[in-house]
Amino acid sequence: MKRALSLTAAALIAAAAQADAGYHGPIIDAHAHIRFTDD
Amino acid sequence: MGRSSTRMRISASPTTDQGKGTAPIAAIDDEAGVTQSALIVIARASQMDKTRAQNDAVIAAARAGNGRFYPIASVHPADGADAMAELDRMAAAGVKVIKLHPNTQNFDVADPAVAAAVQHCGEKGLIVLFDSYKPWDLSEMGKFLVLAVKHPQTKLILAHMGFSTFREAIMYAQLPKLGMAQNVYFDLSAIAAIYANSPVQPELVWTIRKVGVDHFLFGSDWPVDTPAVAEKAVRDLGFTANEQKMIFHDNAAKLIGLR
Repeated sequence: MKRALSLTAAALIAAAAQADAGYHGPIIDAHAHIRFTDD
Repeated sequence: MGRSSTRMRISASPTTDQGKGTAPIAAIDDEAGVTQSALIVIARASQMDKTRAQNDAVIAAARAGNGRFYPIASVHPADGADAMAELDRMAAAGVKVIKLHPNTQNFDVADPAVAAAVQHCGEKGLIVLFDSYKPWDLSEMGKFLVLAVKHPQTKLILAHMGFSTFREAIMYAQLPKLGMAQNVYFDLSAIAAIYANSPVQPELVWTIRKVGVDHFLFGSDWPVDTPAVAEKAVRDLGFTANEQKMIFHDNAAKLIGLR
């Protein structure tokens, strides 16, 4: 019983961590301005 | 070409010290984990020599970045045939996106010259990135809709999602059911940073999901916001990891043809 509870808790913690993980792959910034001169 | 009736402009010219060239952008991208960035220039009217030189410069800067940057060139719709020829030259040079800015360039989105440029872009496979917020023209989102419907071959990206008029974007959840306006995308520059953690956030996120997360791109609007600020704002909107993947990378990669 104690072992089953601990496994359930571990699964819940792992699921929560995954939900908070977000995306951590490559990122494309599709809107950035460049400046070449002082104009 | 008719100009906007107001003398006021919200210019995209930077107010912060953004530096010159790609080095400052690479530095702030590194801080935010941005792996690839647009380099946007904006053309002024009746200065074709400068427009061509600026477009050449942004292409060269992107190429020198070895895949880290991609160029977004620009023309001014009022330059007519010269602008069309420049669009041809940009398409031949491999440019994928053209920036048009109704405020900085001081034009009305309903002007026939804008429609001509949008049509020409579509014929050349060029996507048009429009700034989509002009507070003294509250029908501007409707004008973009007319452009999208009349020029279905041209893909449009509406930067800032209309900003405070973003509720109007809900029409892009409805009209595709009628086979119209399926060529419109949005970037979340400015709007995510302003509405993240605000009372408006749930409605913004609901609207994005209703229109379709696959139609939204991440953008910083640098030098208005840094990529780090913009990225945190999008993360704070509470999208799932898969939705974030689409917004931060996959949608732009697919739409623009990036890696």
